[in-house]
Amino acid sequence: MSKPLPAFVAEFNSLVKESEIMLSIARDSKLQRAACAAMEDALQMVRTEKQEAIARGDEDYANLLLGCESVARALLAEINMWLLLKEEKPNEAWNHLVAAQMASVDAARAHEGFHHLEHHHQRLEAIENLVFPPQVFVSSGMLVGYQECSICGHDYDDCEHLVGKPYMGQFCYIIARDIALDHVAIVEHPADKRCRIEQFSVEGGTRNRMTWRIEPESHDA
Amino acid sequence: MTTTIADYPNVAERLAVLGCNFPDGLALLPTNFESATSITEFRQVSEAATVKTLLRNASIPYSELFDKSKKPPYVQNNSFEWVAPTIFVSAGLISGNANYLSVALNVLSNYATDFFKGISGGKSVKLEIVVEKTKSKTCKKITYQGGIEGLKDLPEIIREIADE
Repeated sequence: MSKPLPAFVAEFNSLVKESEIMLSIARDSKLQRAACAAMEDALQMVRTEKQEAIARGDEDYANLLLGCESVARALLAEINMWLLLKEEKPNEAWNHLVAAQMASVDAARAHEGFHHLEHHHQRLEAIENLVFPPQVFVSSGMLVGYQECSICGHDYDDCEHLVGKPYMGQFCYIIARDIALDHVAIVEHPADKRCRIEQFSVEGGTRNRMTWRIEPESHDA
Repeated sequence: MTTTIADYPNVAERLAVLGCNFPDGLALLPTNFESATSITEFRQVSEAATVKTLLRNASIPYSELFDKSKKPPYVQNNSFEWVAPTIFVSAGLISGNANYLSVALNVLSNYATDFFKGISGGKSVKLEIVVEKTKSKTCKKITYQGGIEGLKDLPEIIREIADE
């Protein structure tokens, strides 16, 4: 039998269900903004609850709340994406789509209670392919002399933490020290899809890859 | 899913020429192990540190090829792929305790499963394993590309190559 959800999380889930109604371009912008405001408040409450869980040393609950935090960020980012598209700001909308995708993956990694989110990621990928034009991604390769663990602050080579895993409500990541650029490459699957070629030179200015508009080159005095 | 097997330079000889330690257990080879002319040229994938931790946490013996003071820089590729380092399996490990191989691949496979959590679509991993043959001490490189579930078949392929 599965463990009953803590009351705080059950309440958060109801708010998520309500906000999910706003995940469409057809919804009223005013209602979508109200949903964003409600989600921002919920995010604050989740962070406070998580701090309390950390203070108690309750790792499982802290990680569950890390998942809730990621879900809230994913919802906020997606609603903002639809709002920005309606405002004819596709470049900014793209950044929010990518933020939604990354937050959705974070949620699934944070706690086993969110493993079902694969279908949500699938939906966000479908939006990427159907709503936005194809993009060209770039990725930088860095030479890193020292990798510091974000959890314990020690050499990542020697500690027991693993990148991408949650520890007491925080994801482990590498803090790169002593870095130098090794190469830049065009890749199919970048770590961050916000790293993309945004424009290229054409006769009469630069073409925006997203809008396909030609914008005149700016000549600063 | 594809598994290819190709010739690989003699690892023991290359290590001796470059002044590196010969490993007792598993070892992780630098990305440019075949072409580097000195230790200072070595580069290792960022994920090598993660794999070492996975092996250490699972009490699987692995050896460092160089002293900590000579540790090569990491190459951090900001692409959304899990690039495992090349794993070297010495003849000594195969004849000593080959079970470590299955455990190591199981540990890597579990980590890769977690890595792909929440992501839809194809979940493909690429893994290169260099095997030292028990009799001739020559080496072969196995390149596996495919689903995580296919990793469990690799210990058998490794043993077959080692016994050739």
